[in-house]
Amino acid sequence: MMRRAETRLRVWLMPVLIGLLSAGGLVTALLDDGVGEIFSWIALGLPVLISFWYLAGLNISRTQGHVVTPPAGSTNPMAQTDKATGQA
Amino acid sequence: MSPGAIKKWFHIHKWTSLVSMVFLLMLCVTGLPLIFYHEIDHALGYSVDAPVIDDVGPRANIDDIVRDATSRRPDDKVQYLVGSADEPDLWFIRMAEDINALKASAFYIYDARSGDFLHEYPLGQGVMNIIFRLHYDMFAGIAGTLFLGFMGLVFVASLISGIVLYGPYMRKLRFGDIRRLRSKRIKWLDIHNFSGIVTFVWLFVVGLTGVINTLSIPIFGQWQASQLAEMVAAQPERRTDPSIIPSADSALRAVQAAAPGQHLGFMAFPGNHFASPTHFTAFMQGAESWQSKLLQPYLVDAYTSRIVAHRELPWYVNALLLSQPLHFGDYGGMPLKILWALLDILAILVLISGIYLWLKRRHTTFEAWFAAAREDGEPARTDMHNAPVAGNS
Repeated sequence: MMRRAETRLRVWLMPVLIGLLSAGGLVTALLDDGVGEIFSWIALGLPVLISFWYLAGLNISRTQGHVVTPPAGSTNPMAQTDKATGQA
Repeated sequence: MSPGAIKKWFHIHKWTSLVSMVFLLMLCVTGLPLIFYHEIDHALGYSVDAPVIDDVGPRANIDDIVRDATSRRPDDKVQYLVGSADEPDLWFIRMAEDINALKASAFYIYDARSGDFLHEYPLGQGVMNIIFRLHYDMFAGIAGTLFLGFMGLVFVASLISGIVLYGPYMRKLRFGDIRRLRSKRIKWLDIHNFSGIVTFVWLFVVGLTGVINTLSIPIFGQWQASQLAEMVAAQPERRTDPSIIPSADSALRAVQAAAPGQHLGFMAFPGNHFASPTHFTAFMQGAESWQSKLLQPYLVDAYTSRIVAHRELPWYVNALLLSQPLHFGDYGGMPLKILWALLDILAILVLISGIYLWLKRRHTTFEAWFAAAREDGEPARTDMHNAPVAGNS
């Protein structure tokens, strides 16, 4: 049960954050012409930046080109990944 | 989710995508230049800026402008006087062969200060017009528009099913993982999933507001048949008097006095469906943010120039009016337009990768997809381990 919740968090954390940020940006530019517009540029610009970053493979040098999968029975996939690659 | 349920969603995603993708690809590709429609029109000389003059005197009489427009096309009717918040020194006159014709016959641009005729917008010409018509109705009129709206709805269903599949697909992957060293199909599947999840909210909003925009004629038609008809019916009956030419200038002055701080979106002339045979209707816009996107209708007696009715537009018209900026991306300056273009390019990537996956393995079964999803992430690839970056650790 615990593991399922963790998987769900790992899978959905970034998509939900990006989704909320995008939705916020779409709305704030409508609500306010000053700060609201500037926020919308950041809020929509960030997901665009993240997209091109990952699509260009710029995240790969950090993880040295591979993704480590947790061994069966592991409870925390993120911790495994960090242990394997995060020593730099 | 059980494998059976996932399989059902997989097929929903496959078929809704297959039905809509050709049209969606067309809409995304034509939509890209349309984001910059205004700028391109100016660059091509289709539209003009107000000339720079020192004059800050009284503004030109609109009746003179209407007279000039009528003299240029004596057989046509002035349908609307149009204003623009971004170009406050310009007036636009839309003419048509009939007061209610859907198709304009001319679109004139006037200097609001001097009243000078500046330019005639070249209607129905040029490559941008072709791009716009493809995007708007595929040259098929209202039927084409409604068809594209339906395709938009199918696309929204495809988006939602795509989101449902993202969860099970990503169970063994991390956000942003693109397995480049496996088969081409897995790489493109990962690219499809990643660019799809990142652009989801934007695509959903632009898609849904696009669908709402396709309903603009029936939505305004509903308002005309109900609230506008009621406002007009509440007025004492008046016969049209052909010997008197109603003054658009006086009508607009009356409304401007009643709505300080607002500017004209457009004013419908007597006889038009947005007005009545004996009334003008001025649609005013607020000065700022979302209020500048909404319209406030003022019904003005064409002969006395008195405001006889003012009623806020109903929610469904407001929903349409707010759907326009959310679809066009024209409400946050040039930076927002550029972001709109970049998001559109990412959307094209989602569509092309989806089409590629389908063409590459037209007989891709659910089982093959499911296996790709369950495959471990990138396994030990010696070539990558030996890459220079590994030396960091």
